[in-house]
Amino acid sequence: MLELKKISKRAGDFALQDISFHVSKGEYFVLLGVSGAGKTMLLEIIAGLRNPDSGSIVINGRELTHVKANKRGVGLVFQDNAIFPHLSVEKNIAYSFHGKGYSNNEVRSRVLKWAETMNITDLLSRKPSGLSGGEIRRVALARTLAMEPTVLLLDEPLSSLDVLIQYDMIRLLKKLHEAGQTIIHVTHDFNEAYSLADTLTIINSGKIEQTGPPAEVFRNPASRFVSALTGIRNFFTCLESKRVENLYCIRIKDGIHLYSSEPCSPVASVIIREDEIAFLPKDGSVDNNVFDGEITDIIPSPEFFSVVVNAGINFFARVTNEEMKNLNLHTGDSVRIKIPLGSVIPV
Amino acid sequence: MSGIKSALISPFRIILILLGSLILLFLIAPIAGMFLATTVSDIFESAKDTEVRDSIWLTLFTAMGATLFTAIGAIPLAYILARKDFKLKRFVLGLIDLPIVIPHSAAGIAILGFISRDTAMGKFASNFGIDLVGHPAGISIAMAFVSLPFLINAARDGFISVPVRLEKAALVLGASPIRIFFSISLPLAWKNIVSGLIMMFARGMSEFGAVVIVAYHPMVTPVLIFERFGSFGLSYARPAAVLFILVSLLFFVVLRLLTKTKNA
Repeated sequence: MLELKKISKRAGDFALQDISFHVSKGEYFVLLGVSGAGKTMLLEIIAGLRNPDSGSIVINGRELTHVKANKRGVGLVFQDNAIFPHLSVEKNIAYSFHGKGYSNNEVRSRVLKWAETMNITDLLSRKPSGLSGGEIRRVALARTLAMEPTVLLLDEPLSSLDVLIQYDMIRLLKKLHEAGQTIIHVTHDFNEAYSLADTLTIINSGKIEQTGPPAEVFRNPASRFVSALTGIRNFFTCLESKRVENLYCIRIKDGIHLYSSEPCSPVASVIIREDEIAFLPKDGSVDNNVFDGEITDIIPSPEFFSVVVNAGINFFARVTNEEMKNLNLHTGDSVRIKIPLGSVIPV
Repeated sequence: MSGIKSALISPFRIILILLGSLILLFLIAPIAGMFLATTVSDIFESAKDTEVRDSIWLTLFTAMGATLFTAIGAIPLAYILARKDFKLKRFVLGLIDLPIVIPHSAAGIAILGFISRDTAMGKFASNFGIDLVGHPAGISIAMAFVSLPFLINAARDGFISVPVRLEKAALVLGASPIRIFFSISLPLAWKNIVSGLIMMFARGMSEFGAVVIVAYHPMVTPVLIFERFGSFGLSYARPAAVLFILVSLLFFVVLRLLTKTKNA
């Protein structure tokens, strides 16, 4: 459906390098990356607002790389919505109808159709200036959908909306996806990406780091960057992996070894789930994957505490509020932690 | 409350108000003085004078013509200057301000050299049987020359204030550049453009130096006032001046009101 082949673009110090991916018809494709990763630039290239230095864009078999933005049929919803402030909501939605030869009735019925989908029929005669952020976002979506784009590009569509409205918006986007709209959605938020994507592509400093179904990316992050983005902080590079009896001994730092039931090739990585790290009493013998260390930080959140244990290398352990009462942990305490064999996952 | 009160009576505030009032007084006093020294019957008398009436009509007509005619090119130029970067852009911007900084009599000399019968422009006009020197068209050209910077700069500010993202959004929605200009850029910059048109019109109407060199006759009102003052003295020139100011004020108030309702 949409094919990006080796798109490169330099702008000042920043550069997109060899970006290639394929989006199928009806697919919900999410580009995830921190700000400054080049996501918006990539969308603008697909929409035709910027020309790539090299590479090509093909949509439905049609080479579009040098086709002007107003002839591409690609819809883009800007992060700041870019609603025309001097036009009513109705005229904003109908903006793309010019020159299509629609009768007045047809214009009206098409506007109504998209206004109903976006649940903004009561706003049609209003000027944008009095509308809320969520309403403006819906108008922007309706306006772009009204042009019946081959691909819908969304630049951070949930940003600067409050939580309840974000939920409404996610439902709307899911509805569009179910109706068969091909969507490329750009975000910096892993949870947002996870909740919507068929395919998740992670972009960092102008390069694609990993692509795949979100569950797979979450299970097997390809790099420290990806794991950090997905919220995994126990991500270690495997320096050496040796077979010891029926286990594998993985060196992650000089003097620090993790035991795993699976091998890990050098330069690959190993991750540990935060909620599977256990705190042990400091008596008894030291077993495999048991470390003594000091608590350097305790970070509270509504459902759990993140406890940072320095045992020559930092481990992040997740402790529920209930557990915290029993364990009575404090910053500066020396503690013993155990990482179950099955929680050490080479990726 | 007490904070505001103490701020109001602070010595610094008093000095600010005092100095500001002096400047306001300086601006108001001469005009107020002129109005006070002129009786209503003087003004009526002046309004009945066909020479005065003709000159006011001529002034309004030539200034309006200069403004509307040059706007056709000035607004696109302002758009280019707001949106595009090119070599020598700073030079072009400086060039546009040139009429503001040169003496207007010098500007008049330059215009005269440009439109007199032996120049290309003069020959072109004479094909249509017009001698630009001493012609209302020549007056309009002189007015346009000295007042265009006001329109170009205001329109440019207006276009700069229109976010480029709105134009990009329109482009992605399938609009052609010309439709984007007329449906997005122009309406959103309209307030500044109208303000520029009014300023240019006002500046053109009040022009004396450049106009008097291009055309002493037919007389625009600033030249008429000067001529009456030179020939008959202050008391003779004053009623025409007051009448002209009243007509100008009326025009600007009406124009401002019209554009205000349009923008609201």
